[in-house]
Amino acid sequence: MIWDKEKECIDREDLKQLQLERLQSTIHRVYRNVPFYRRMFDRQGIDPDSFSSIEDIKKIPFTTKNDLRKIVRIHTSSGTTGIPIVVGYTKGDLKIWSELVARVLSAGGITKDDVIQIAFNYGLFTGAFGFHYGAEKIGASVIPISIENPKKQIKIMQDYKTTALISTPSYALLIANTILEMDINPNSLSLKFGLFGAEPWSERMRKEIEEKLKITATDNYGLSEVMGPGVSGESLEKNGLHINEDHFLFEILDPHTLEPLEEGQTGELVITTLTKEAFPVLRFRTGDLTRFLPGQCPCGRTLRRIDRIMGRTDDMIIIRGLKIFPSQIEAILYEIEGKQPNYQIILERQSGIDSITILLEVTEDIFSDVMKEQSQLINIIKDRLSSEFGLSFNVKLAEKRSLEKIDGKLKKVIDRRN
Amino acid sequence: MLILKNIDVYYGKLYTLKKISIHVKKGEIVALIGSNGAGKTTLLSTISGLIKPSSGSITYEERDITKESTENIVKMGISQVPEGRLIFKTLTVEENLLIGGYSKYSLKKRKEIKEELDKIYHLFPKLKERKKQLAGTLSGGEQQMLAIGRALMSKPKLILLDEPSMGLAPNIVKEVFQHIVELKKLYGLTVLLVKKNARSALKIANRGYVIETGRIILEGTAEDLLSNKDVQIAYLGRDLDAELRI
Repeated sequence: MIWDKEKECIDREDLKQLQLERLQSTIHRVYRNVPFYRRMFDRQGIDPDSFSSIEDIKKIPFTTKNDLRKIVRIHTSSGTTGIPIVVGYTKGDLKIWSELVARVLSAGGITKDDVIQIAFNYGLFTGAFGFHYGAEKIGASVIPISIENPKKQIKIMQDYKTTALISTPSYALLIANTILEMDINPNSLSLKFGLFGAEPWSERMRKEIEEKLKITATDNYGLSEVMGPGVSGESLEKNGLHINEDHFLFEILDPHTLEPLEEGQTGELVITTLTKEAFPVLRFRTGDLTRFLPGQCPCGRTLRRIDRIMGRTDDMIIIRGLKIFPSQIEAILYEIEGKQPNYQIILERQSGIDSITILLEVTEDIFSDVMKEQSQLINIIKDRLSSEFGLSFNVKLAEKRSLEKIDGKLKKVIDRRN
Repeated sequence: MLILKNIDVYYGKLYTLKKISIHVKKGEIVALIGSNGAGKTTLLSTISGLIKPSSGSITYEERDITKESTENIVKMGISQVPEGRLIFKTLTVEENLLIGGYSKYSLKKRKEIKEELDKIYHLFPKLKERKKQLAGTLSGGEQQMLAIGRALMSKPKLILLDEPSMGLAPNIVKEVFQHIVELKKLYGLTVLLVKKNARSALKIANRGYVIETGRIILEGTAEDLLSNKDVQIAYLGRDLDAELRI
């Protein structure tokens, strides 16, 4: 179902006019009300009256996560570095937020007859409340279960006949695996739909979740800095996320040259809010990597689509002029290993030549003593990677828990080239 | 139906309208709200071709009317009801109405004029009662209705209403606004309404724009604008300071 047909199926020319009107008024409002932006405009000599097309947005410098911290610090009496970014919402913002989440939910198959289990942390995290508002807007029933142990989630699913699960994809997979471990027949559950987001995931993972939970899983993307969930979401066609372009302006730029990329090319997503009242942002560098998808979606929405988030700019590897994302390597390892791999990518430079090494953590069953089997696995991985990227890879196996961690988190890319 | 893109207007050296972009869809009532001197009337007069923008474009029903003369714009179906009514006080009510139909009819088409007059009398029975009376003797509310009726005589598709409630008692204002809603229903009219006092306008409008010193600073549905704090403070008489003291 399409929640707001008038806007989601808007004529592209009308959309352009609306975006221009909203960009112009946002700039005037921001210049008048936000000291940070006023100073930025004045310092750079940008005339707020000089924006006559969407493309003029290029005149505005970027806003980064650090800038947002600074903006907040202006308004707080005590603050130290590393404070989380505080985002406020006016009554109007909340209204628009619930509308936009309602669009995303409807696109993912949700109607007023659904029982939605929201397995995001309620609290300061925007995910849970965003979906909650949207679900209420649609009139669906909500179970605000938050993050609980998977068994409890499953119990609630059974008892309350949950029809839709909202969570991160990895959490959904955890629930799915727990269901299998508990020997529960997934077909005995009432689950039909899953809307997953808040972290990058792969097509393969979608298939796995769909098969294990017997549901239709769609992807959605949003971020607290611009609003939270509701920024974009997939329709049941599952072919990319429709952007709510009447409220957000998306640019996809080369993360190094910061020049706009053509449709289909992957780069950094930069977002400008067009209607936010309390916390408008101009050209916010998300650090997330994606691309605009070409063509019309059969679902009827005319809003442009982006591909699933492929990772973070910080993770993008450029080696011998090639752009590689850890997620691409991960997909191949997954395919060969048949499960979520633990791995690390090491980049090194010797006498001016860059090399790429994959350290793959293996469990006892693969880490076999038989040298032959080991080298076979290594060769399979090497062959697949080099045929995929046209580049030779070194592959080494590593024992469990031997990979270098920072703050308890496995760092996917270690660049030792400089 | 009507699309303005980056309209710049100068009065001599005074930069009055700054890159104004707005649109009005068929069948909508759109309110343009802003304080004195914000540029509301200038904007309406620019749409009717009384003032020519120095840059930007105005598209009406997919035709560029930026350089069109006011006569032609009226013929195409845009009619402006000026602020302060500006009716001809020394002429009778009916004469005023006839002037409004001037662009549409030659005197040979008496029958059509009669039909059009009857429609308007049907909508505003008070005008019928007083059709032989001098317009200057009408009450404020009746004068406003006459001004609207006069604009309707040219059979517009889009009507530009400038401060239709100025100087009228609150209950009369209500009546005038009811008529505006009726017009939309009966005639399928599209309305662009300019107002200083936002509340009554936003109550009948679908969407609105807030204009401030020649710039559009806010666009949204009427409902969204009514709940916007800036709008409440500036145009709805909400006193935030007083609220904070409590």
